[in-house]
Amino acid sequence: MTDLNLDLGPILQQVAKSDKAAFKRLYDLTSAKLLGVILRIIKDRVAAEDVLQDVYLRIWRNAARYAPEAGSANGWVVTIARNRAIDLVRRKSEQTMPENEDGEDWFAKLAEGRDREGEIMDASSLRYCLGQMEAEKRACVLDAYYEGLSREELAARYRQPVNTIKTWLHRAIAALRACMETNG
Amino acid sequence: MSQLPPLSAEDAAQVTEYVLGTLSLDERIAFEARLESEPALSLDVRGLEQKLAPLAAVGDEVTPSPGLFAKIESAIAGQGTVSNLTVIEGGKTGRDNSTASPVSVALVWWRRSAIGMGAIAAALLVALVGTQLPQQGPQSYVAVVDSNGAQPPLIVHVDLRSGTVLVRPALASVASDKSLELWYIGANSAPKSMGVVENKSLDLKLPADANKSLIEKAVFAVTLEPKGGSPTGKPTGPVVYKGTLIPE
Repeated sequence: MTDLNLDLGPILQQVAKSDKAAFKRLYDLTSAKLLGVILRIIKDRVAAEDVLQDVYLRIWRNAARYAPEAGSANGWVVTIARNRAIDLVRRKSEQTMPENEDGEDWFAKLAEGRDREGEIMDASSLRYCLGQMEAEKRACVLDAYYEGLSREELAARYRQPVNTIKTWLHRAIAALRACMETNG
Repeated sequence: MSQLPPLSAEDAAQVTEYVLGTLSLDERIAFEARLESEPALSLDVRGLEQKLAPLAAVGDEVTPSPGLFAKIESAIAGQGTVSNLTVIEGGKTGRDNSTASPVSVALVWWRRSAIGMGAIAAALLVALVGTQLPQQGPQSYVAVVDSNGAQPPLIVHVDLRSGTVLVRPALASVASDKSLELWYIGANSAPKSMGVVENKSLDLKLPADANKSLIEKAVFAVTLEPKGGSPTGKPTGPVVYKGTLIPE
């Protein structure tokens, strides 16, 4: 099943007109990818599927709000999924032990990423600019992004005070954004 | 190029941590409230989200359970019952339609108030019952309350015949040191607590002086309070839902 290799913009525009067939198609194209995104953050399968349902209802409800000027439809869709997963994970007072996936593995995957997806979501400047970051800071950013780790969990994993983690994240993203402005 | 003034360092930091997901729960809720009313901030957030979105594309796929799409369709069509509800409908897309299920509960569409009811608001119309229960017209009202992602949705079911209100969170809960407290705010009145919303159905009585003639002006609100509810009898925490109910 193709995932985000296809520009979802036209399909989303149909969904915005309450086209149920388009909505089903969107689901078929994206649900496995989105569940993957959510599961890496939520980890519990049942809760993750609850979130996935919620995400698709939001997509159904809000498709008309997507504006192409704001960015790619593919980005819009994954952002909803990720945000809802983070909403839920921040509510859990006890996290399960985070997986040991190294932030650097994610970067390697991104670096070898498929070109078509890269074009659709402008991944090339992201790849380049992430590459400019110090490895540890990059790994920290990517752990936050992929696993939805809290500051405290990042602090434990990187053996730094929470305030240091905050500074790492602020500076790394500020530098990333500046880099992408000039390399976009 | 952006025509908006650049964000302060503090705001930029908040944007970073909001998008990455590292804000604490309270901070996240407060920040989402700001997004509703600060377009510059919201634009910046959306921009960063888009820039990082390609990261999401490289992960593994996991096929959802086979019956999942059917549940989504069912929720959209308004055929779900309260016990199965995990998601919400509503918003200002103009796709409002209230489909009253003849059985017990219907999903009701929230309509954002034109007047603007605050940062995190999904406005519904409330019909309230006083000492005389109306014989005609809708006898029960249901709303699924969404605060645009800042909190898990609530399901609120008002039954005029018994004057009870059922409130249930649809997803998992609030932070362990906090409680959600439900308030009824009549026109020109101070908020009256209707109790703390736990992770189970809460039967509440509507206040005795709830008056149907004040329909348009009365509001339900939910605030985030310390565990066990507000210590003062008045709302002390941020409003995370605010709205009114639409009849089925």
